[in-house]
Amino acid sequence: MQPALTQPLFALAERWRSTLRGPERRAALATLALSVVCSSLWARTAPGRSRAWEVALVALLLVAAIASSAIGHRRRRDPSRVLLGPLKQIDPARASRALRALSLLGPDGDVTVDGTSAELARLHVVRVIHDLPSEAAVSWVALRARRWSAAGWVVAGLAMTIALANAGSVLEGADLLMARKGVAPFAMQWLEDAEVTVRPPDYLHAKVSSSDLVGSIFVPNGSLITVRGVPTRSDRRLMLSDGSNEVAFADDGSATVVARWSVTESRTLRVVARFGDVVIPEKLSLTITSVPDDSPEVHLEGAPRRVSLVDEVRPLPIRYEATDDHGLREVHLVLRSAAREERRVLSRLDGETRSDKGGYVLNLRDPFLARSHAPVEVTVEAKDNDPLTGPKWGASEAITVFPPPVGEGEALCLDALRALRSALVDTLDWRLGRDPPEPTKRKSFAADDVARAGADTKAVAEALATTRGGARIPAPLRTIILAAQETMTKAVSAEVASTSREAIAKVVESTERLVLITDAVVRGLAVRDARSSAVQLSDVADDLAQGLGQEQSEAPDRRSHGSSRASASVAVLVEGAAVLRRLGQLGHDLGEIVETDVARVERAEGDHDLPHAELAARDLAARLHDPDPSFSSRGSGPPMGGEAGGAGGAGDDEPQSPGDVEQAFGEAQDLERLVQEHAGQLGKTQGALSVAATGEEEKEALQEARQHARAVRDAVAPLPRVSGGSQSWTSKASAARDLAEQMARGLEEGRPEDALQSGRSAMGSLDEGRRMLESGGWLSDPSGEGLAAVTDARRKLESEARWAEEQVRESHRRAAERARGELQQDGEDEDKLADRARDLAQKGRESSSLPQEAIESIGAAERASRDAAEALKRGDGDRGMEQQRQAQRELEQAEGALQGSEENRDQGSDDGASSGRSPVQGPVDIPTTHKGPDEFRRRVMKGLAEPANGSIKDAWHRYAEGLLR
Amino acid sequence: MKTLRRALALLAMCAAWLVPPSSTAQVDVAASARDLIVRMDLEAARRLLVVADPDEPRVALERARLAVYEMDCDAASVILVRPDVQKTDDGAALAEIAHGCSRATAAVVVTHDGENGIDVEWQDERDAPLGPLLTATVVQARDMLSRDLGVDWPRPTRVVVVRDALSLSAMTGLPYASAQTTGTVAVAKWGRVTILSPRATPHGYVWRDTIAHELTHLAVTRASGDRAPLWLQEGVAKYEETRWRPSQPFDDWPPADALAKRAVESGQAFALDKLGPSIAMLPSADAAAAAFAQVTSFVRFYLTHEGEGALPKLLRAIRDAPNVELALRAASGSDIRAWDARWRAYIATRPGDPRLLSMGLGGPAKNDKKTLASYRDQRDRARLAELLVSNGHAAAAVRELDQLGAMPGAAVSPELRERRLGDPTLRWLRGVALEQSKASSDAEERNLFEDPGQVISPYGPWWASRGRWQRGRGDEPGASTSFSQAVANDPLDPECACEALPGSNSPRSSDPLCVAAQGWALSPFDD
Repeated sequence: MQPALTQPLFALAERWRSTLRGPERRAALATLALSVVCSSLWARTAPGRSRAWEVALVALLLVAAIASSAIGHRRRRDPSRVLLGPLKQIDPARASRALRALSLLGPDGDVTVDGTSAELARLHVVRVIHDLPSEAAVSWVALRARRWSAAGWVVAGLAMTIALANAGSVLEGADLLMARKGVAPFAMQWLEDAEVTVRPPDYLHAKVSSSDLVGSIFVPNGSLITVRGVPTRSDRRLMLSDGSNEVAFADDGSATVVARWSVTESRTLRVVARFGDVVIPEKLSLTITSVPDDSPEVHLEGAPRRVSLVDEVRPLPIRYEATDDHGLREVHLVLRSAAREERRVLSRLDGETRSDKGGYVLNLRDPFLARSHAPVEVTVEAKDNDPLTGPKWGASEAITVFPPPVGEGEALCLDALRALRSALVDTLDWRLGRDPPEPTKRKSFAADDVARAGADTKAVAEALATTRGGARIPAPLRTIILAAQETMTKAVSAEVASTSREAIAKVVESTERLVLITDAVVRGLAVRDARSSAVQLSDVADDLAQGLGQEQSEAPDRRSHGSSRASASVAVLVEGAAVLRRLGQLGHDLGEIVETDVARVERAEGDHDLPHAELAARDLAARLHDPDPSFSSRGSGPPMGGEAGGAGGAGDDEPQSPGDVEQAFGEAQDLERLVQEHAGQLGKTQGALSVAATGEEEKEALQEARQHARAVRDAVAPLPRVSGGSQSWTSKASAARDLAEQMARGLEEGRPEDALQSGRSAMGSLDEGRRMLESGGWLSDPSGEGLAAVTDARRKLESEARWAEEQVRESHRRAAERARGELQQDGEDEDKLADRARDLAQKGRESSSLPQEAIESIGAAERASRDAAEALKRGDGDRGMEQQRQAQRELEQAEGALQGSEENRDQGSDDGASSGRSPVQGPVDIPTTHKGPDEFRRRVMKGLAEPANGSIKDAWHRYAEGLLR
Repeated sequence: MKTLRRALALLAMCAAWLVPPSSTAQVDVAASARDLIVRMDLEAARRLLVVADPDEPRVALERARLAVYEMDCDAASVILVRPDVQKTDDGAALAEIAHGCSRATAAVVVTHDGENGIDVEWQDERDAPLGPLLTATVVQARDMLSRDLGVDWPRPTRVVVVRDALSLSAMTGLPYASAQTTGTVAVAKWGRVTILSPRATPHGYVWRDTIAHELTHLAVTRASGDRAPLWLQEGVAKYEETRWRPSQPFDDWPPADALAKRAVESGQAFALDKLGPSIAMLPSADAAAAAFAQVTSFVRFYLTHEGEGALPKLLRAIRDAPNVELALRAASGSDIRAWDARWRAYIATRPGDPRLLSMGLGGPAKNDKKTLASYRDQRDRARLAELLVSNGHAAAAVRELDQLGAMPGAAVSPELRERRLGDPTLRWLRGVALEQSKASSDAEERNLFEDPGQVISPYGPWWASRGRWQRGRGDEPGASTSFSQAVANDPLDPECACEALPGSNSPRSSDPLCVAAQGWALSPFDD
């Protein structure tokens, strides 16, 4: 179509557009404004959705605008569509005519209908277009423009009205609509007159402080921060926030709101208003720096350092100082070795003490050290009083104690004994090599012997007395050697007195005996030590197997733990094997097996064959659990061929544990058993004598006892209840009153023996009180009433005590009658125990395996036991028990002589050999707050104050008697 | 015999292909496999089992048994974990053995000798220098047993050298207490020889003869289909244990006939068919020694009467006959009671041996004070002498030994004097003391070492001292024999293995056995 033909149409369309554009835009903008206002308001309740809505609306409007523009543009370029617009609305006939006219021509202006003149067609189109009602159409469009304009103003007005009516909300909403990551970009003020108070945790006992809600403050961890203020707008969800955590403000009922914040770490706090998932913060913030409760610091004197137990002869003093910023609760000594840990409380504190100093003595023979074969880390650890995050431990540097290889101490003892044996063999050789002296040289001959015997005595004492690697030669074995050495010394003395051929032979014989006994001790002890060391190593082998098992685990940390466990075990086994080899033939045998099996384990590990390594370790453990010789036969000699059966052989030269040694250990055990069994026998007799009386008798006795109890209370009623001072007669009188009350209670509860005991104590107190009164003169008792009261009470109590004593005697007599049969049996049993005591003393005497004091005590015990047996058989329970107690004391004394000598020597050698705590040699500050002794005294006093059963009470008596002795 | 076994194996294979999957049929397969396994036809058993149903408990059990025989104890342990397999007759016991074997042989050193067909597992690798002697023993013993018993040997012959009686017990199922009581040093079971290392005993033992003894058990088991009674097993083993090598002075020591006679006369003899499951499980080592003497004497008596070839004939009969009684009757014309009566009549005619008393065998134990004091004195003097020698006081040691009265002229009871004279440890100790004190005379040394017949038991160090004495006199062949005896008794004693006293120059210092012995040894006088 030629543009010239349609130009009027396009001009017309352009006029319409210019008329409508302004009003339409205004209307669109007004709509947009309204939607923003509405979205802002909606954003306060659902910011997320409103933001989406807003974005969608804007996008829609934009799309609509663009689409409208594009459509309009196309319409304006299409003559047909221009004709179909307002023209068609105003004059449909002419518009249709124009459309038809246009249809005569194609796009390039050619005639589309055959046979029609192009000229005429063009002319027709021009005329038809010209006839169109252009002005009317313009007017129609202008009318529409006015309507659009009016609508726009209405919408704009609406938006303005809403916005003005909810200005704050609309602003908040707009802020919320612009939020990023849940936080609106523009801060607002939410609180007025805000104030902050800081309350430190209670356990710190610190004061409350206050601050503004701005700036920065340092507060102890666990403090409670309270923020209080007046909200600037009501109905806002105000929160105290650190950006990730929030605490809501609560109305306190007085127009202010309050929020509390627990400080667990450093944070910046702000007040925010929460709208759904978006907050609008306040501009100001408070930066809180949390000051944590530090772990205690512990200083261990001398740590870090390494200590080899083999080189130590004294106990290890552990001196520490623990400090904490707020307070200490406990201080522990911690011992760790491989997978084992043991904690011992050194000090318990009140949680407010900030510093604690103290000490501990770690014994060389401490059970933990004795059981540990891997290095032991000794640390002191202190626990603070932090209840918030839980108590924290602070640890000192470690003192690493390297225990001797398994059996090292025992091997050193054996080495010492071997050296002693060697020296004695030299002496024997020297004595065997000497010819009997000429008569003139007898004196010097004997003098040489004395000198040699002196040197040997010294060597024996030195070998036996020393502790080596925490081990000592057992007391029974020392006794045997010492007895043999004494025999030799006596023989030498006899030789000095008379240097005869027989006397010289006796000296040689006694030297041979000493050598043989020492040798027997070496061999017997080697067997025992090899067995015990092997059993200890079996635990290590078990540990190795478990470690290798863990190494096969899927979990890396378990694997790593298993690996280090296995390595430590292998190291201990290797060292232990080397030591075992020094423990005689059995030790050599077992040591070789350890080496062999460790080699198997290592071979398998080298091949990454952990299951077989574990199996080999288990094989070793099984072998060491049963530390018998690799080969044994209960026959008459070594194997003679075939698969089994010893026959013939070279006689009794197998390395069996020599009988003397086993006998010595056996006798020590026999004595221990005898002491225990005799104590049981004593308890049995006591039980027989305390068989309850018949119901009738009991009822009668109790009735009478109640009357006497009343009399006792009456007797002491005039005495003062309260003491006037520890050194005054009133203190004694009030104590007597208390004791009399105990006596009365004893009587009422049918415990006449206890009542008697309390009565005697009461009388003792009264006697002391009377002495004080008499020595105090007129000033202490101006009226003389005190003395009279005391004397009278004493007299009355004495009478009641006599009655109680009579009751005790009578009850014993009746019990003895009732238990006559049992007592006779007890007498016979006591006789058997006496026989055992006799045999034991006899054996000890013959084999010299018990010290002389022990033998004498056992003899005395036997005599007392016989007396007791006789008395019991004739039904004299009191006498029988008295003698039984005596026998028991003697037996315990014998046991003490056997074992106590060792302890005494241990103390003498300053190695703190006894187990448990022992005093430090150096200046160690023991914590003053340590309550151990007080606690012990308190328990003892409590225990003594309470009634006890017969056997325990008897043990107390014996203990007390022992103390007195 | 070989042809028959092949035919059986072929039959078993054919049967296996035809085996229906029914339970009864599977049990039959398992039983056949078991027979093949105990006869050590392991290849045939494997072929049979490979096609059988592995889910059937009895089949699984036999597969485990086969694994144990093939020394694959881990595989056996895995199979025997199944509860249904453990519930079968031998299941629990076999499981215990498999686990014990698995544990005792974990990561041990194994030597394969393909040429000789011998596999040896060394629990303690330091025993490996014994390998050449062990191999020589096995080869010679196998040849001898093939000749004497008519058996062939499946290869390899498996030997496990364990370090202690506990491992021996774990490997074989012999109760540990029994092993300790009877002093068991080796067991032939599960198709292998499990033997205790000579280092496990204080002065070794006749380990090479013991290997021959145990191989005989394997051979008898194979030849008889594991049906030979205990008396035959042990009697033949004792008979054969010294035949692999030239005879030696202590071959019939203590004399079996004399010891058996003592046992019969004192009523301590066992009925031959009532020896129990194993001599190793008798109540004491002395009882075991008496039982060995009985069965040894009996088998010798049987062979004397039945002549050469009697043993293969008897073993074949036992394998083929329904029971041993019938087999014995078929092979010899008499049953065991008749043979026992004949043997007892024979043994009653045999002279006693007074030397048994000096060995402390065959007579009532003397517990009177004087005797005990004498024994104690001997023990003490010997020990003092040892200690004096170890401290370099050899002259004083000789003096102590002189007081024992062991030497001619001393005033002690004839019996004790005999015992002391024959005691090889006293002779050896005296020899060492004299050597160190340089106070030895040729006459005295001759007296101590010349005649092994004067010594009542073999003792490695005595043989070694004898060898040195012979070498000193230029008698190298004699010395070689003595040292060979020393090593056969106590291979890991340095004096035996190195042919010299510790601390002196050894002609064999580079020999692996000498090196091993020096690495192992305690001082001969140590505690």
